[in-house]
Amino acid sequence: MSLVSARSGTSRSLLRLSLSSRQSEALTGILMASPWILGFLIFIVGPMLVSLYLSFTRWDLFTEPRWIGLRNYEQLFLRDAKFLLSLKVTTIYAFVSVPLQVSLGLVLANLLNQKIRLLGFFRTVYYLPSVIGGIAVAVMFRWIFGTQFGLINGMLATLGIQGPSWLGDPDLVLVSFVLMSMWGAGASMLIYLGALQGIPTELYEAADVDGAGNLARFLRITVPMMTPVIFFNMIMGIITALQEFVLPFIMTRGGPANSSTFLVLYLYRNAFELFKMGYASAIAWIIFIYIMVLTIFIIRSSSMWVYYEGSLKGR
Amino acid sequence: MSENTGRLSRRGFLRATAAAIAAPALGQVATTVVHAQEPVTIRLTAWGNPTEFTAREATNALFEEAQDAIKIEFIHIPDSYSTKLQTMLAGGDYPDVMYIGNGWTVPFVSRGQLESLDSYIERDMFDTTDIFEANLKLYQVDGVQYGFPLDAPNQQIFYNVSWFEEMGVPRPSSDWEDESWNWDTFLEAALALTDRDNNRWGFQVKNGFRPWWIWVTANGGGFYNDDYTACILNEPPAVEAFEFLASLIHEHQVAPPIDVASEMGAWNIFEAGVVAMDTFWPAMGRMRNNIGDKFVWDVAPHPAGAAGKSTAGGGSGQAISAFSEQKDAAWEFLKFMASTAGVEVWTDIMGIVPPLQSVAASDVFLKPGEPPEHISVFTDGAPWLRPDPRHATFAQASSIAVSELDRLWIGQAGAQEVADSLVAQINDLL
Amino acid sequence: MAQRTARLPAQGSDTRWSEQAKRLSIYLVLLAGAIIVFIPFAWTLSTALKAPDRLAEFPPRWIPDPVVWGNFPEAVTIKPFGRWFLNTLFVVGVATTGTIMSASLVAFSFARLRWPGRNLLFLVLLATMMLPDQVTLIPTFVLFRHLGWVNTYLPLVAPPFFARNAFFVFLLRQFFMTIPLDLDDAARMDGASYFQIYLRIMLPMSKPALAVAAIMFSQFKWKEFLAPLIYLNKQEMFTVSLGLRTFIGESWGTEWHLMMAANIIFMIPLILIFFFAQKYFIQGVVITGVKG
Repeated sequence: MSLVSARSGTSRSLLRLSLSSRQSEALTGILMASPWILGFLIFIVGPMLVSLYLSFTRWDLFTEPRWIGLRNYEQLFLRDAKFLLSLKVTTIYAFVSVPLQVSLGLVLANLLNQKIRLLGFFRTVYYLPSVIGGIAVAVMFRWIFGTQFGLINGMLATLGIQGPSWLGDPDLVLVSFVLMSMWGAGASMLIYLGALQGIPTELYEAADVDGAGNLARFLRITVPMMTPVIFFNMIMGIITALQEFVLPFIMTRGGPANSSTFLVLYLYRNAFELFKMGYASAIAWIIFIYIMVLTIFIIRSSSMWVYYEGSLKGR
Repeated sequence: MSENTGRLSRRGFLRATAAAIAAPALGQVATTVVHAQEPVTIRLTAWGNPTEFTAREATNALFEEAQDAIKIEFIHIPDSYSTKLQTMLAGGDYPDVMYIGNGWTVPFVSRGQLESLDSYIERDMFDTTDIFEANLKLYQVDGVQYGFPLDAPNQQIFYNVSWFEEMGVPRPSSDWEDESWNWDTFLEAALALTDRDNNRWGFQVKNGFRPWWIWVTANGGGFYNDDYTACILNEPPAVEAFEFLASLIHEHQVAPPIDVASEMGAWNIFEAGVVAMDTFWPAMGRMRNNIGDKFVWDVAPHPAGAAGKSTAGGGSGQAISAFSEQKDAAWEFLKFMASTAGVEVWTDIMGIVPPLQSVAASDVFLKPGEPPEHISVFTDGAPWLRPDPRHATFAQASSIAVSELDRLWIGQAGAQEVADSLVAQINDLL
Repeated sequence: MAQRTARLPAQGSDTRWSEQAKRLSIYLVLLAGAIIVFIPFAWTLSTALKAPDRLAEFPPRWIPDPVVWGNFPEAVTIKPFGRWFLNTLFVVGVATTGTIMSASLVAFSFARLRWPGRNLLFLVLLATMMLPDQVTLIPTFVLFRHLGWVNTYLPLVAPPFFARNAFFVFLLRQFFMTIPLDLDDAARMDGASYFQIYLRIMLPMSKPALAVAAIMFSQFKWKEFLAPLIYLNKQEMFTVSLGLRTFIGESWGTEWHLMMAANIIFMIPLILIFFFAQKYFIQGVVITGVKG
């Protein structure tokens, strides 16, 4: 690039800046976001609104939906003990498993971000669970937690201990699910690893000069610099955990005695086994609002603990 | 591998002979009914594991070879069948022929999804008398026929003969009339067969509906009262049956904990020789393959309760969509699958109990020389069949019952308490 | 002076010793964790090598007897597995390209540009992930049916070009927001347009993040089940994740040994993708940073 053209470019953009820098930024912003905006209008908003409408109807999938106002919601909150139980069970699962996963992933990422031998191997092994994922994991863990042929109880038996019924005991089944979710912490580890690459080395060098120990480095530099990604993993963790379906569907069918009937499993049963799509849609919108409230809460609180190097605030 | 090719070539042979038999008759009907010059294509939705998929390919090919007016577009749905089928139907994308579980007949008919077959049966004077009546009725609503069964799978006790012999336990009688095989002798046998230290169990209690429905009905119990105003699972006959099954797990410890079946799949546990007796529907093709000559196995009715013997069952069949645009062609296919040619191929590959009495009496089903020895237990038991209750609330009611009973099976509550609680919930639906 | 130089090496070997101990403890922790994480995987492998009648053994047997290598060929020859594999490669390749292109662009807009309604729309973007798929399944199907997209790959590969997966927009936005604004400002001073900033600064600076997003999306797409189930009718068009479900027989009982064998084959490409893509963030803390 020649000096002249560079200068003229600058002056031109300065000119445009002086005319309507705000507007041009806004226009570019909308233009760049337009793939998503278009996709939202084409693929997403319609089906979402339809399901919202259906939540106020009785619909058996095949005959015309019948408008019944708030009756589905009334029924759910006032008379459906199974729904309230599933709300409770899912909430417990989410609120226990998400923080554990978020912190375990963070610790793992830090351990795997050092100059050590076999780094690629270790990272791959820890990430393996996320590769398998879904139904295969559920099936595998059904055996691992099995009472009779299960791996854990098999190992306990060699020590002369009779293992519990991990998935057959209503008091243990959530514990087993939480343990399983920890096993999948590799996915959040990966995101942290990506983020760790962005932390400027200078910060650590400065800390070294100050003589900060490892823990101090971790707490004072790594964690604050990672907060945008911790924030991400928390919100995504909540969104995913409150919509968990595969684990209970494959492993316990919601049992025993409904103790692992998660919200989406209950929704699925109503929609596709009992032909109550209107009712299922109401459950879906309750889940939606529940997650939304939690998300807004996390976002509101984020200004207190999330640190953005590239924040536009105050500009 | 050589065994595999042998099996395939036998299928191929059977397919060819069946085609030869079916071709003239079927070709005639098809050309008179379907006037189009171009072959029409009907869309068929079906689930299927590898065995079922092979059977579908074979019957579809046989149908297409037998006539040239109709082609089949096979929509194979490997899993989550109801999700996809219901999405298609609700979205207006109608298949012409649907493979359905018999339990779907009532909900689908009440929502106007299935075509009545009566006028077609009458027009073609199609003879349905060879179809087992109990199974044919599963696809009727108010006397109107909406589909034909593809199998007649009544659930019986499968047992490990070698194990019985090894422990010196007399084999259960395969005679439906013989009530010396009853709950007492059953328990005796189970006790003698069980060796907990070596993880060998006499029986397996399962938390599905039919596995306990058989015991409830054998003891004279029912699900709903006669006018469907109340659930009667908390009355003494049913409660006694629940108590008896629970005692097999807890008191007598002849059955492993309830969640064992879901760990490996009940089939695998029986095939591996971990349980001596278990309730299954007859997928004998699978059993023959997986057990081979490892042990001898046979089938027998469930033991007689206070009200005699009982069996449960259902199975799957085919129906025509009410919105199909190729109903005549779809009907030809339904007819073919209910014909001897179609049923023989289906039975041979699947190893199921055929819906046609004639095929059930033939070697295609009986397979002399292959297990089980008393295969006729399935067809002889037809009079003892207690079909699933048929009521609009049944799907939800049975799911309530099954999940409530979990508490009994895991020993958290007694039979009467659980039964009262599930009855209260079911009565709310009625 | 002499004293100091004499003391220094001693201090050095002391740190080296504690450095070694630290290193060893890290290895031990990592190794223990790796074993725990690896056990279920090893169990899958063990099951994939078992004979069908040896699946239910107690206590569980790690090394199958006999070892049935034949399960692997049987699992893949039972169906048009090769065809499914190519279909999946196509779908994953196209969709990943689409997602990375669109999601990074949209994320840049949300992270770096100020425009009216941005914060509200960001919440809307998040909201699209909060409604369970099961209830939008039918309306979405009706939509694609009217577009004539049923039984084509379009429902699987077109939406990614419109950043349909909000997860990745959110992920990349978070990454972009960790990159200091000074870089943008400097580029603006040089007359770069916003698009140039995105292309010349943001993307090169975010290689680790883009690699993470690409790995996660391709893995998500590889395993995706519901959309292929609903939109693909012909068996020749199936993706691997859909075809594999053939082994799960609801009423027949599942052929576990075959399913696990097929699953392992199913996972190998994902493991390979991960192993090779991680070179984008393997360097560790030492050489990264924002040295422009």
